Parts: sequence; structure tokens; C-alpha cells
Amino acid sequence: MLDGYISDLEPGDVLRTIEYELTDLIVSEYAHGVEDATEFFHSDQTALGGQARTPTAAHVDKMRVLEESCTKERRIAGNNAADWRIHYEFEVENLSPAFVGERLRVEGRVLDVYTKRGRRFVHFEFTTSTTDGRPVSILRDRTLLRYEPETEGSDG
Amino acid sequence: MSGITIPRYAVGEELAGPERTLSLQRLTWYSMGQLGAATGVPHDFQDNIHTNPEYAKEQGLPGVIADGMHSTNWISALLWDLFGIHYLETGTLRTKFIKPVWVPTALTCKAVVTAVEDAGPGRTTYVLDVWNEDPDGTRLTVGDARVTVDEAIDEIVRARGLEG
Amino acid sequence: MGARFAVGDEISGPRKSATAQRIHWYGSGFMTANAGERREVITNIHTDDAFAQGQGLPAAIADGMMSANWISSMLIARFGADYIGRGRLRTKFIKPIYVDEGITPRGRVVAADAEPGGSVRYVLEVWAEDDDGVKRTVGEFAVTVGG
Repeated sequence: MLDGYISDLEPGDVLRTIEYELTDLIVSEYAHGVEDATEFFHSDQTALGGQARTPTAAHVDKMRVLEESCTKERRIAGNNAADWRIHYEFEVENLSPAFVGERLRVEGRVLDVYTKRGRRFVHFEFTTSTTDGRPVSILRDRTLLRYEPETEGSDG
Repeated sequence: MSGITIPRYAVGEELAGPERTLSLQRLTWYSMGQLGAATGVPHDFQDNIHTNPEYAKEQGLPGVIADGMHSTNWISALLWDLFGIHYLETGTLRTKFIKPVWVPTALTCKAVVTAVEDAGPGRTTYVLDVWNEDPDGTRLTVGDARVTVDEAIDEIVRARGLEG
Repeated sequence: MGARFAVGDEISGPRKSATAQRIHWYGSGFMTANAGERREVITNIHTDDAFAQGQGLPAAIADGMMSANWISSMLIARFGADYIGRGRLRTKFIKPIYVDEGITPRGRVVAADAEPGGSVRYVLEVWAEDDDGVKRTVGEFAVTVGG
């Protein structure tokens, strides 16, 4: 169910598609945030021919899609649910680099919501492409809806 | 800790770091880092000739100009890559900002060994000219550095009681 | 880049402490990338012990994506543009990383298969371990190089 909390999502939910322009700020701040000074992520004067986002930056696509789909839990805007979400698994397949200046489209869906050993997980899939149709990445992600003492992981 | 590298270079040897573009984004981070370090608390960047293209033009500049210390720090990073802990222990660095670095400019930091001096038992002092240059080879920041490499560095660090 | 490895080859990245400052930088960088404008990280389970304890954790923990990114940076250093264009990385955050713990990213080549056209498909087991060698994050990486 959309327009609730992340914990209101159900298997099969199709999340709202978002589009955004990949800017220098977005790309370099994410790399800088993990101290990756590889030039690919900070300028366009490299063998790649453009300033590319990190292979892990599909994580940002997930946040942006959830922001538009779970409108009671807009974490970018600072509205968090009572339960902090715990990131359990991150899996990205990169299909082509995404470059600064390109416009990206992200589609997301809920693959499953399940309980395992008393803990409730959401399994997502986010597909990113450029708005002219070039595939960029596929992100599959598992998030624990609330921390339980026996579960070890961290937020995402 | 054991096995700190003992670097060795010859007079005339030229050394270089990677080409990196000094971008507006990097200047903004430098501004935040410098102010954070100066004040002791996280700090947002300051709007000035190093971070704001419109402001720079109002001040009569053709565009954003890099803080000279940004070039100095990148040259310093090259010395760290070349000498490691020896540079932290004994290094001296002098830089002169002879030409402006406009943003964005791709820069390469370089060094050439101009002298290798005997500094006592197990100690060698390297004297270097250092600079950065743009893609045309024009030098924008120049300077010199001295680093004494001590073969007893492992014991020196161990005696300080720190591992790293 | 044309990296060449054999099955059994091991790689590693630099050891880093998951300091409060790094946690702050990651959180702010992440929020900025999400928002498209400069943001500071807010109080959360990564930045505040009391907040983390209110969520049932013993203390503040590093965001799992920090270790995933440190693993990713290690792979970028070895595989460069090949990874950025077409690599696949999976990470699972099996144990929390607490503030100031030292973490080292590592990998081991488990497959190196020649493919048509002269390319090689590498598969690596990857992980981030603490100073005692205990794995905190585990995963796999696959990339095709050359061709």
C-alpha cells in the first residue's frame, strides 16, 4: 500500500516512478561521503569521458523512490517512522555508467514482505535507466523494518 | 607495526601524482573543511571568490579562483605518497602561488629530487623542487620540500607507543 | 583497465576506523545525494548512542553502506572502468560495526572464466572484517574485464 509508511508496503506493490537529473553535487558528494577520491566520480576528464556516479549510488535511487511512495515516511524531508529501518542486504548490478548531466528514471517494486525468525523484512527491486532508455542499474535490497536484538545489520 | 617502507630516490628523479581536476565542488569541500578545522565545529562553506562564481565576477575576477592552500595540500599529498610517515616526521614544504588556478582546472602535482644529503647514520635527506602544472605544462604553484628518511623509523614510531 | 587475476588471488583495501566523523560525512553525503542539495545528517541510530539505544541497539552503529562502499572502493581500485560500467556487487550486513571500530575490506578471486572475444569473467568473494578478522559485511562481486 502506497502513501503510508515503508512498513505498510505489500508484496507486489509498484512504487512511483521518479526522474531526476544526475548532478555533479549528487555524484561527488556521495563519493566524498565515503572518501572515494577516484577521479571518475569527481570530474569528466577521465577515460570514461564523463563524470560517473559510483557503482553503489543506486542506493540513492531507492531513497528517492521511497520518498515519493511512502509519503508518511519521507526521510529525506526529515519525517521518520517511529521504528528505524535496518539495511540488511544490498545487491546492485551495473549495466552502464550513469553520467552527470543525464536524466535518470527509477522504477521500483516490492518483491516480497516476509517474516523470518520473528523479524519482518521488505525485499525491493529498483531499476534505473536514462530517460532515453539506456539501462543503468538494477538494485535489489532487503530492509529489516525494525531492529530486533537477535538481528545484526544496519540502516539503509 | 613493522616494515615501514624506506623510500629511496636519485638526484634528477622526477615524480608525479595523478591528474585531478580542481572543481567547484572540491573548493566547496575545502572551504567547509578549513572552517571546520579553524572553528572546531562542522561548518558550512563560505560564499566568497573561491566558492561563488557570481561573487567572484563582482569582485572583478573572470571566475572562481582556487585557494592557494588547495594546491599546497595536493602537493603535500604527493609528498605523503612518496615518503609516507617520514614526511610526517621530518618534512618541510614551502609553496608560492605564482599564477592563479581558475576553476575548473586539471592539475598534476610533480616533484624532482635536486639533492640527496647524508643526514647521519641511517638518515638521508631528500631535497625536492615541487610544483603543480596545468595540462599545458604551465606551472601555477611552485616550491620546495625536504624530507629526512630514517631507517630507524620503525623503532621511532614504536617508542612513541602508537600502532598504525 | 584490463586487470588480471588468478583464482585464489586476494585483494584488500586500507584499514579505516568507522569514526563518528566518517559516519557524519557518510550520512551528510547520502542525504545530500538524495535531496540534490546540501544537507547535514540528522540524529539517528548512526550518530547518537541514546537514539540507537531507544531503537534497541546497544550503541550507535555505522551505516552498512559505509562498509559496502569501502568494499566497492577497493574493487574500483582494481577493476576501474570495467566495474563502473558492468560490475555486480552484493553485500550483506551480518554484524553491526560500532563507532571507532577498525574495518578492512578484502576480497578473494573464486572464479576467472575466459569468455568469447578475449574477456574474462571474474567472481570474487568480498567482505569487510574487523581487527580480529571477524567478518562484519560479506558478499560477492562479479565483473567482466577486457574483450
